[in-house]
Amino acid sequence: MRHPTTSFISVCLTCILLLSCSEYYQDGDWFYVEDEGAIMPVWVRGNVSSGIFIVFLHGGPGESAIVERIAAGNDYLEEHYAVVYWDQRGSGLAQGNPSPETYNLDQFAEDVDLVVDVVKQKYDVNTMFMMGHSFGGMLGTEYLLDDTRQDKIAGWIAIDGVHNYPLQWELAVEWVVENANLKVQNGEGTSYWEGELEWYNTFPDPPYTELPFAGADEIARHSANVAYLNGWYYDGSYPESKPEYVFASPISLAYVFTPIKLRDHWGEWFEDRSPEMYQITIPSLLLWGRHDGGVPVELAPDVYNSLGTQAEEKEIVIFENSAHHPHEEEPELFTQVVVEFIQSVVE
Amino acid sequence: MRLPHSRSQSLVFESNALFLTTLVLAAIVSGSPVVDAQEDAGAKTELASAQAPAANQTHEASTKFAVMAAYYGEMISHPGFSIGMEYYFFENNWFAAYVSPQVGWYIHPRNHYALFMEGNIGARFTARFGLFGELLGGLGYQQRWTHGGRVYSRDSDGSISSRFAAGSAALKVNGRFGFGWDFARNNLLPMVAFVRVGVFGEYPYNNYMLLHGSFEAGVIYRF
Repeated sequence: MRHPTTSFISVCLTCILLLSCSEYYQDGDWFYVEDEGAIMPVWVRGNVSSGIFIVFLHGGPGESAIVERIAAGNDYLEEHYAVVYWDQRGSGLAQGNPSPETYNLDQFAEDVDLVVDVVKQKYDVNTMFMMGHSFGGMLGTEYLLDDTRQDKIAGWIAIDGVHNYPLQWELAVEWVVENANLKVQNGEGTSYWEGELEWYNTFPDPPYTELPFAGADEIARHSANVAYLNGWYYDGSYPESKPEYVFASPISLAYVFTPIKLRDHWGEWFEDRSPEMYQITIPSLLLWGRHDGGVPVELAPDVYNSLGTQAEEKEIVIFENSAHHPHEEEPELFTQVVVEFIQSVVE
Repeated sequence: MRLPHSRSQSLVFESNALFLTTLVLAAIVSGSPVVDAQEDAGAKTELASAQAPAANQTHEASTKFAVMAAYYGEMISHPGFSIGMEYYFFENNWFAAYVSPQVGWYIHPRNHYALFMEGNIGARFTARFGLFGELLGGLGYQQRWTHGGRVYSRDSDGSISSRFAAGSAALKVNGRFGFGWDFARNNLLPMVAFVRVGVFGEYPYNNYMLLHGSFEAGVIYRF
């Protein structure tokens, strides 16, 4: 009879072997792009044979397209097209030791261009689209403002995307204050929200010329308030965390720590690109969650009006049951709208 | 034009590395079924013959050195191994202080794999019947490489080239606690079985110290 200790260790090793066969280690194509000290993972999933590729620009700054894909899924869209998930420098699962001086929009846009060129070289790409969520909206806008780069992209899809940080922060603070006042009126968490309203009252009057607060801790505090008010996810439920994400996926603890470090640089991205956006003329689809508290829906008309795209080639679609993540909160409707848009461009 | 890379190449390497690591470790700790059967059949006889001399002699260490080998799991499930030695510079019946240089390797699929060398200092507290607890900490060097696919970059002329992996060096800072069983206390073998759980920091990683979890399960054989 086998010794119990031996059996225990054998079971453990068998478990490890099984964990090593995780779908997250097998599915899709995995590679890296390296630029200016950053080594950034790229995960290409979905219908590669369609010839239609969507480069997904994640939000944050500092979040992770790859973690978002693992936790929230994107199966519907991947049935139709190939989706390119890329973690930006200093974000998510990106490795290396880039100089903090490279944490600027110019460099991020250069990184996007590298991803686009590598994907075009590596695959048989017929048509390439760009999709930016939240901060990815600002990054995509920055990228598309260059004519040469814009020529590589057939269509632009912004999901609750930022293009104008001064206006975004003004609207986001307004949204929290309005909803916090409702909480106070309804007697829900009155003392907490009264305290937070006092904090928001210390902010300078808009329009903001810089972040309305000092730094990383305040960003976290504001973000928590948006979360308490269901401004990130409308029903308040976040993607489920599973042990396999830690033990059997590419995710490391860097996902927790790296975005915190990047928050120190948020002030450097406090830009308004709307005056230059007339240069963006490709077909554009602007998707927004009605209840977004982080990048409120009131920002959508400003994006729409700023784009140089002809009226018949740009559209705003509002998701009535979503906050900041309509692609996760209403995935089937989201896919339907995106497929219709892409087909209209391709055809 | 496609780049000179086949996805299947990276997948083959990925699968082989994982499979071989776990297979070799499983073989080491499990033994073959034939050996198990023999052990089972003759267990009582062997135990009796082993205990006869043990009644009169203990497995007291003849030197201050021991060697160790262990499964090393970064975040438990990212498999690898570590080997090393221990030198006991102070010890009495219930306490031992030691230094332990180690080398090891582990792989976190689609993230990185790493080779490390480290020096630790430890304190082990052993009960009369063999159970022990220990604390150890130390510093080391870790060389990591990306894992999961090729690394693409832009050359100075604007073209794109690729290479197998990108590596970087880091300082490794360890802290672990563990427990185990000292078989020598029961006059069985001059051997210790242990489990250690810990945290190690890797610096620099995106210009800060990235924390990892570690898990070790192995044996120490004392000469």
